Amino acid sequence: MLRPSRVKAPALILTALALAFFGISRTSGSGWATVLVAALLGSVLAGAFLPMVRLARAGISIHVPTDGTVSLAVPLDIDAKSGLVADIPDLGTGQFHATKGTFFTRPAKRGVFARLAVELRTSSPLGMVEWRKTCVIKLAAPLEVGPFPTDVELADAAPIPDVGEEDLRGIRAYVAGDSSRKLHWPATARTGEMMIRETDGVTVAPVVIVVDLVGPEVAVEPTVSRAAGLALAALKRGAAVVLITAEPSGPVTGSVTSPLEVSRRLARAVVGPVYPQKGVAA
Amino acid sequence: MSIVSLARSVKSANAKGAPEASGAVRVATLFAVLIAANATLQQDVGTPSIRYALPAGLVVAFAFSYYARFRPGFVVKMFLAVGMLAASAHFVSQLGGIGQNAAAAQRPLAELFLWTQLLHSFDVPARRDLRFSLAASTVLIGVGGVLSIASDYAISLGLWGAAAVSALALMHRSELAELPRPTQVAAPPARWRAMPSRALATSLGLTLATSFAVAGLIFLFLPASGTARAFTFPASLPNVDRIPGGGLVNPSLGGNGDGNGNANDPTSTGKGGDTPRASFGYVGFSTEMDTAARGRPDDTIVMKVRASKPGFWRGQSFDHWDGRRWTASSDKTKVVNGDGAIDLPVFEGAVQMDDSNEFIQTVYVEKPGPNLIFGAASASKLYFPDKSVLVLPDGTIRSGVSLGTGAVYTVVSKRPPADPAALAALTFNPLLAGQGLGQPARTVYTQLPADMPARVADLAASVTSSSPSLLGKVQAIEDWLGKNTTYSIDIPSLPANTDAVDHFLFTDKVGFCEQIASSLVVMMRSLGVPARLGVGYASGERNPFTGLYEVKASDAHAWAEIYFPGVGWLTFDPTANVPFADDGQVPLARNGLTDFLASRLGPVLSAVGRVVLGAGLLAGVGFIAWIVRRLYRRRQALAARSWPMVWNDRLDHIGRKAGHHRAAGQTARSFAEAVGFVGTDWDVAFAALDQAAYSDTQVPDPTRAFADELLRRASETVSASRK
Repeated sequence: MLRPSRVKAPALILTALALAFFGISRTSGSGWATVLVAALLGSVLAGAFLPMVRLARAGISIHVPTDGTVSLAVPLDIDAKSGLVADIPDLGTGQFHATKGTFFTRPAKRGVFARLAVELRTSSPLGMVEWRKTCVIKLAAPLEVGPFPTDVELADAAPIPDVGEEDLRGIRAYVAGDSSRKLHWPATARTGEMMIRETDGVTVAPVVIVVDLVGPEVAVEPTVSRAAGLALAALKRGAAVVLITAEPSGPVTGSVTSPLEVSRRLARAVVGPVYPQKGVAA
Repeated sequence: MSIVSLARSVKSANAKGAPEASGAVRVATLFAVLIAANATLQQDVGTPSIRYALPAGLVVAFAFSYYARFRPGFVVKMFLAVGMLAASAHFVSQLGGIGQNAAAAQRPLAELFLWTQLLHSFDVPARRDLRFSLAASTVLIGVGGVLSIASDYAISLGLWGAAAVSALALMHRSELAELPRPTQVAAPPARWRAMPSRALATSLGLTLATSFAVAGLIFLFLPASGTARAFTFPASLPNVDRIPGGGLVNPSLGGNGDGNGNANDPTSTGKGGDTPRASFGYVGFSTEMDTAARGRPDDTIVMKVRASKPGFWRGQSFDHWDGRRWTASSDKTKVVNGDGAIDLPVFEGAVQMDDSNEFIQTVYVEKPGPNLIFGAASASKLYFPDKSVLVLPDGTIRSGVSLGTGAVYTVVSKRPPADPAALAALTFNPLLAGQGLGQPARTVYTQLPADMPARVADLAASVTSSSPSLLGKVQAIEDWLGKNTTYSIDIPSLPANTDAVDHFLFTDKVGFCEQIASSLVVMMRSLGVPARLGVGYASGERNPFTGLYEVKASDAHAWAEIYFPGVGWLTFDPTANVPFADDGQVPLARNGLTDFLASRLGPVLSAVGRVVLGAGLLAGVGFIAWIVRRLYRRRQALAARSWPMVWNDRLDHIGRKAGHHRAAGQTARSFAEAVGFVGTDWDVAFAALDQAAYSDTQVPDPTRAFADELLRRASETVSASRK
């Protein structure tokens, strides 16, 4: 809905001057002063209502990527008529001059945004009265803004299982090309020859991160950031990561294999029960 | 609010703003200031040297301000403070010689303001300072408007308006430029690089046109200027040419017979000579008026009058009629002194009135004329730069100096409280007709020539016999004159030894104001009613823009002044039924606008009207033909377009309705996704679209119909959501 939001200094000054000249025209008899009053008021009214007309006809087109991270730049492809000032509070853009091009913003909050509320303002062309309206733009695909991961020192973190034990299949003599890491030192010591371990591969214990968010929205963000940091650190070390989160549809448990998946899962995470509740289908 | 916080607020309000980077903003502001300053200088403000120096100084000041915009400016401010002190001292010294009339301070004040504007222009680093300059230019253009009495001020006002609106728009753009903005992905094609300035020009043009149209509408409903109490009473004399003897002189009536006279000779008596009468000279502004004289003055504007309503601008009156000429029975003048404001005496027969009936008129003399002070009856105060004037018993005021072009004076009149209903209720009593006047005055104002034909008096008696009141008798004679005589300025000459009134009433029955008004005066006198012939100017045409009545020489007029006991002298114009004194108020600024425009544009329109009309008709026919051709071509083009193209355009249209604009190079699918058109149905539609556009195989009709139906539904959904 269109509404005037601010009367700016030029409109106030010109109106004051028009009133002053009205008084002068009444007492001095100057016809030109009357004409000037009409001209000043005409400019003020044009300056007040042309922005309304412009804003009523204005639209804005925004293309956003599907993924973003809090505090990291996200490119927005904007297409709008010049003279508009836009603000997308969900993405923390602040006010910017909406013209055609790419605008980079750093989202201030995490979440999944299927629609974006865009506040459009303009006082063009004369900058006298600012009008405002809010457009809700449905995105082609939701923008999922994940948390900015906290740097986590693994030693300080919750116990994360390191690489697991290998299953020993047998021992054989060293042949050229074998890795020195695979030397089986007890057998080498017993036989006096270099002996090599033969194994069936590595079994890795998954890292399960339960993102149990409780409390007001602002308070849980550090927790989500820490969960992201943990998950990324674990992934970096080759561990399998399972995230247990609450989403608007209910608790979700699932493994994540890439930072993108971590970001998306945590973008969707909301305050709520992370385990199925009694009587509620999981 | 504590003193500390107040001081902080003041300091914050005065904090230096960021320097304005836009040169265009500075240039537009400079233009607005220059035009406003020039408009003020044109009104005789300042000395001639200032008129050249100031515009150059403003340009230098703005240039200096631009180059010094990053400097602290302390030294400049000190310099400006000294300059302001000097300008103020100059202003105070000018005030010393203006006397009591505040209007005389207008021009020194305007000059002080010009100096302030110039000095301020040296220190306009920030946008806020430039805005202040723009506001100051508004005051300056207003000052010029208040002082201006000319129509060509419209040019200055129009140019200033364009510059000021441009400056405002550019300031707003500069403000926007400070906000973060999207980066351009790629430079626009070369041919479009001029677009921003083109778009700006279009926007400015639209804004100016809108402002002009709205201003025009507002003007139509604004009250007329000068309808409230006046505070200033302009009066000035460009030259002081003293007239010896205090007699009546009128240079516009020709030389004085000494062989050296000319139309501008202030000592001319107006009685002819070897210099011809000026085209704007009127024979009535002389010591006598011969009704046998023929020829009327032309349309030269002789004076402009600033007044809140129309009126007769009375110059003098005649009281002695010899059957052919009007003269004044007494030329005995009385000197009345005053310093700027001269209080005029109350004349015999006038009624004392309070200030509620005051009517203020300022007269701007455009052509040299008689030394008569023109003004509505009855003048009670005069603002005149000369220290004295000469008054006659009938209220005529003469100046002791010639009144050439540029002379200005203000007359304050008090109009008799004439209520037609009350006057009509007063029964006429011949014995009391001159009550309030002394016997000598009664004798003078009822004088008639001894040889006046009796049928004139008989006619007056018969015409007024059925009217019991004095007002009724006056109106009865006016009605008779209106029905039985004809107005014309082209009348035959008066035969010798003929009574002019008798000849007009019974023979010619054609005449102009002098014959008609003389007839009314003579007929009223024949009834024993004191009456005299007033001469002066009719109100003239009101210029709705300047607010001034433009009085032409052809507005010179004669009317009857009839004495009403207990009321005073009332003016009656039998030539055209002019309303009573308090009628004819000009309530709105637009009053007279259509007449004014018709008189100014009428001749032009009539000359080019047919050409314009013909061209307009041709243009209209051509326009219709162009529209028809365009529609036909469009229809043909639409018919020739393929189904995918039509479908794409419809998709674009629906997207625009939903508030989305398709970017250049954006595919239909991507655009549809941006709008929110996703799903299996749309996948089918896009597959069909791709097949139709890029494949040799035909899209089955049902599939095509399905895709079309999908668009139709989408359009309905978007329309519904907009509601």
